[in-house]
Amino acid sequence: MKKMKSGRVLPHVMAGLLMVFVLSACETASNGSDEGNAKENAVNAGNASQPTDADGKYQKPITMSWAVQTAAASKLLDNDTWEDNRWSRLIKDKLNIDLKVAFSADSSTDAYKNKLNAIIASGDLPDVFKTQDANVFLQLAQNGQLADLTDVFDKYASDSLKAYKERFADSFAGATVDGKLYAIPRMNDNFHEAPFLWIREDWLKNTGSQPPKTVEEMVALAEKFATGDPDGNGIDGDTYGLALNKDLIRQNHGSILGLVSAFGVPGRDESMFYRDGNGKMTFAWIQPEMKEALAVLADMYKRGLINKEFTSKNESALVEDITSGKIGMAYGSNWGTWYPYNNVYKKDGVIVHPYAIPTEAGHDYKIGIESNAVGQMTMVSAEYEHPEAAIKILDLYDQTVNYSTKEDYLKYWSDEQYRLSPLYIDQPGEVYAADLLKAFDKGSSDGLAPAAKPLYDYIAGFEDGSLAKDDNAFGTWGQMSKSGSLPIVLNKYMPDHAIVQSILGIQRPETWLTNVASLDTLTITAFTDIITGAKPVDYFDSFVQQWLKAGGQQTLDELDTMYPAK
Amino acid sequence: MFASLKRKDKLARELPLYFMLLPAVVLVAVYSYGSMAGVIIAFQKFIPARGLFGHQQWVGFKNFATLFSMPNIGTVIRNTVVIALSKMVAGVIVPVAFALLLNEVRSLLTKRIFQTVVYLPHFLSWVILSGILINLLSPSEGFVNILLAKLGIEPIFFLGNPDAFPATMVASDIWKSFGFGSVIYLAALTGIDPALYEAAVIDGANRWRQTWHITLPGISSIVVLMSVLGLANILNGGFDQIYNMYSPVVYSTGDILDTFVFRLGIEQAQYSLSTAAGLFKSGVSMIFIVASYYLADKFTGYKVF
Amino acid sequence: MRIKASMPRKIFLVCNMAFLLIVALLCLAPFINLLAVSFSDKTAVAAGEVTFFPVGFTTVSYQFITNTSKFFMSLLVSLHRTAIGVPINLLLIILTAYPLSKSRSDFRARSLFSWFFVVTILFNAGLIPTYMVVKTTGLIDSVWSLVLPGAVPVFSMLVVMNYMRSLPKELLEAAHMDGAGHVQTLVRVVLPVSAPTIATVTLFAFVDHWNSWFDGMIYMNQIQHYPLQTYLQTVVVNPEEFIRNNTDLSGNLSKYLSMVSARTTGAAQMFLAMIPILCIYPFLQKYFTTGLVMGSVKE
Repeated sequence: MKKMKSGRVLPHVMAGLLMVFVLSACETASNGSDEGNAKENAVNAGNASQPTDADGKYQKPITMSWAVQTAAASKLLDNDTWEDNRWSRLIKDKLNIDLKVAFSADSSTDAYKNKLNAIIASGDLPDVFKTQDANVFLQLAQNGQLADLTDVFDKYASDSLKAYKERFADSFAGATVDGKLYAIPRMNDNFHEAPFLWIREDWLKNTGSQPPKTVEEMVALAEKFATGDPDGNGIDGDTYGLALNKDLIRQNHGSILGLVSAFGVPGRDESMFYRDGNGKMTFAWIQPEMKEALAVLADMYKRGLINKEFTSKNESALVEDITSGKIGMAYGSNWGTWYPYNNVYKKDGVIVHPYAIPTEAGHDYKIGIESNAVGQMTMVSAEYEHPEAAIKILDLYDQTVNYSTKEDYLKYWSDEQYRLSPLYIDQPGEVYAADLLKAFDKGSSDGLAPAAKPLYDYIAGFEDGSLAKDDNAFGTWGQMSKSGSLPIVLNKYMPDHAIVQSILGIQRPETWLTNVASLDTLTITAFTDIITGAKPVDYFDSFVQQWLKAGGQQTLDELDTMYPAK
Repeated sequence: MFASLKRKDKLARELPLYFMLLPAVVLVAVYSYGSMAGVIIAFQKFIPARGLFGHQQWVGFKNFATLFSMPNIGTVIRNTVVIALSKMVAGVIVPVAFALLLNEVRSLLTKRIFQTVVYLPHFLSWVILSGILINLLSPSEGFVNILLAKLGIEPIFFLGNPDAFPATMVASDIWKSFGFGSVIYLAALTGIDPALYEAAVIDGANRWRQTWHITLPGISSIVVLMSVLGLANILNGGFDQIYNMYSPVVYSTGDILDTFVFRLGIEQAQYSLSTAAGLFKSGVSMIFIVASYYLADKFTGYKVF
Repeated sequence: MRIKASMPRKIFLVCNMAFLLIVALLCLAPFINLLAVSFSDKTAVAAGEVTFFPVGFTTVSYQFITNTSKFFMSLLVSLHRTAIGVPINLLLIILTAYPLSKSRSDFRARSLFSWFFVVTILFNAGLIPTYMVVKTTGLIDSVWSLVLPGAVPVFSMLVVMNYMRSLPKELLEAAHMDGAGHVQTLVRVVLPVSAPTIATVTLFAFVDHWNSWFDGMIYMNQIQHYPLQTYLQTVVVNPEEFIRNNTDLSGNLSKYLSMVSARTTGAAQMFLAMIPILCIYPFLQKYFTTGLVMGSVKE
């Protein structure tokens, strides 16, 4: 009986194994043939220069695969999916292009970058994809993996798109390698990267304080916040003075950028190279003034004015403390009312205001921003047969968002829905801050660029109370109204000539590329150690020596020839 | 009778064995040996667009030269060896001690319950354990530091302080694995002939002397064996564990070869450099693995395969 | 012969038991804490009030999870890979271990094949080359990428092989005399007596598949194809993300938002992911010693 049984089992097992292999083969095969079909279609289309209707719609459907960034703020609404959503339907409807998701990954962590790098290694690029990494862009362009968009842009771009190219010439120059346009760049003017000091208005009131004008006043305010009871919950000292996050030198909330600026250090990320007063190529984080700035932070840390565990908190962990009302003051970027302080407003109805960074006597403050040539690039694979489709989508985007009804604007742009389009006018609304200020002086949105008009309405709506509960209105208001962050740049930082722009464009020295990660780590580690008191402030000198030795000096030399003084 | 089998018959007799091996051999050939061929990119200036076997610029050992001129490579190797060695040593001592103590428990049921409980962490992934540990060890909200605060001890940044990080990694690794690690020693303990103990009791030896003269010699060969086999992991600091718990703040003591290779290859897209670093690790590991197998055979007569 | 325990011996036994209890508690406490957190109110959790019992008992974190699709999508992927992966592992282990357990006179190519497999332990090609092979074989973004590259767990295979080799020769010879071929011998004679070691490597295969996260992160292109542990890893790395990404998914989630935190939902998800392991390993425990120890140690 037993024998019979096992005798019968084996064939089943074997059959099972066989099936597994067959199934696996089938799945692989069907994947393969899909790709084959797509290529075949594409080839046919290319040969026949795919006929289109008068309005640019393809008569036969074409496909486009793209890399989806599931970023922090992008949300899927109304049962949309990454595959089937408002933008994919609109693009299918207007252009007869079938979008396919090549891969999706979280762009707020390293996941997207990691995935893209793995895919690049395999040599099989999506048709349309984005990168923030100038080096990745440059390598792909130089290795001939990207489609040359020069001609298709000239031929298919609307006048409106061409106007962008003129206004943001710096950005487009950054996307151009050897005279060929290899990407649609982020259309940017980086003045808005400046840091601010953000303070909860209720805490200021509860402690009877004024916004600090000097670093000394800022430290005094931090002491009140840390040791007193600014949140009025009856408990002294359960709140933080000045909040930091572990990344310290990145442009986000809880950085030290605003503080070091006061000491004349235009610090920003790992890429802040510039020519100093004497025309010598230098790097922000090795300026001797850093020592004073670090001494202030180390002293604050010692006195318990900085959140003790900042070394283990990234920005998003800090947000939890911000939302729960433990943090009342932090240096941060211009978009504070979009995130994270929108959470405070939603939860407690409290506004967290941006202020110009407090300054330090004896120093001209300096603010570091990136080169305009650097930013997110949207690229088309060289293998893609329809590079013109990318321009068509960009055009459709421009028409839908900027020249259409308010309804369409809300549906296709608001709540970060624009990220569902493979290509969008990647443009911070910030670039219109100056235009908006003028419009408010006039009291009318006439003459504003189409992309700026909705911003005007949001701010007006927030101020008259009709949009007081609207996220977009609150975000825009905190950025671009007269009490917002950006007017501080326009009316103070810029007239004071405090802005210093990094010279580092798309071309980067090889030494730097190899060593940037370790140099970056070295910097953050050294600053963290000094702030927490693990190392004395004088350790800064030894950090500078290490930095110079570990590829820093060579980078400076190479940059000096790569970007000659004008 | 077998001797009289003809060559052909013997082959026919062996044929089913070949068929059994076939699927596994094919898969291993493709996925293990196939990727071994891919390490040639360590000697190239690899440009992905040209394909794995396309025309790539040959640069010989330049990637290795670049690798060893990187400022943190020495730190990374030191960290790897320090963490791996500590784990190895503690990974023998703690399970042996636990097995000895558990062996003193008479009740089989109690023994079984203890075993079940201490095995648990071994079967959970580092993803889950990291999630738990990050919360437990948080300096402000973590249970451990709240407990320390009640005892009047300053909070310790287990995961954010370079001095504490390696110790935290070793301790949490032991916490995860000591229970399961003791399986083999418990088995060895039960294998000791009870007659030896009875004889010792008649000779008037107390428990301590019994442990010293009978128990420990009884499991010594297996302890030696496990220690020697552990050598094979000299460059394995534990990627899953460290990757999920470290941060740039602790790179100076916590960055190990595997995390370094991962960041180089995937986060920084330095494919050739990363593969070179991986190749270096594999090469050194291979020497240690072979040595450990050889020593295991020599000292205890145990053959891994 | 029974000897009455002396006084010092008694003291030792009590201390020993107390010590072992503490050790056991150390192993168990984090998980009890996790469970308590998952059932607690978020303010109590943030204040560090939760130890071993829920404070402000609530199931809201679990309700939040059941209303988001990501956890369950990744759960399905994990079940899928386990359902395919474990049987394949097992089959290949058995089919490989049996021939290699033969003596060289019975299977002349034995040494060659042994080395063929052992070399893969000795030498690891690394991340990028392996990725490219998986890509070349067309498995990227498919569940097979989680199954086929690791289809032959060589260590488990060696354990089973050693076990089979330790079986009494007479057993096999008897089968041979009966005229049984290799397949019949394997199925009727060898497998039934190898049950303990097979059970052990089955558990290992299951645990491996259930706990793997790295392969999912590297080989899966779409977030909805992530297996459970890969998905959980994204939650562990960036806890706020889960809450934020899910805020406006659908209207009924927003009502939970003020009631859950990254810690409570994280704890709930981790606990749910532990359940299958909790259910299986205690029952296979009796095989560990026989299966693992006999397989690897023969003196």
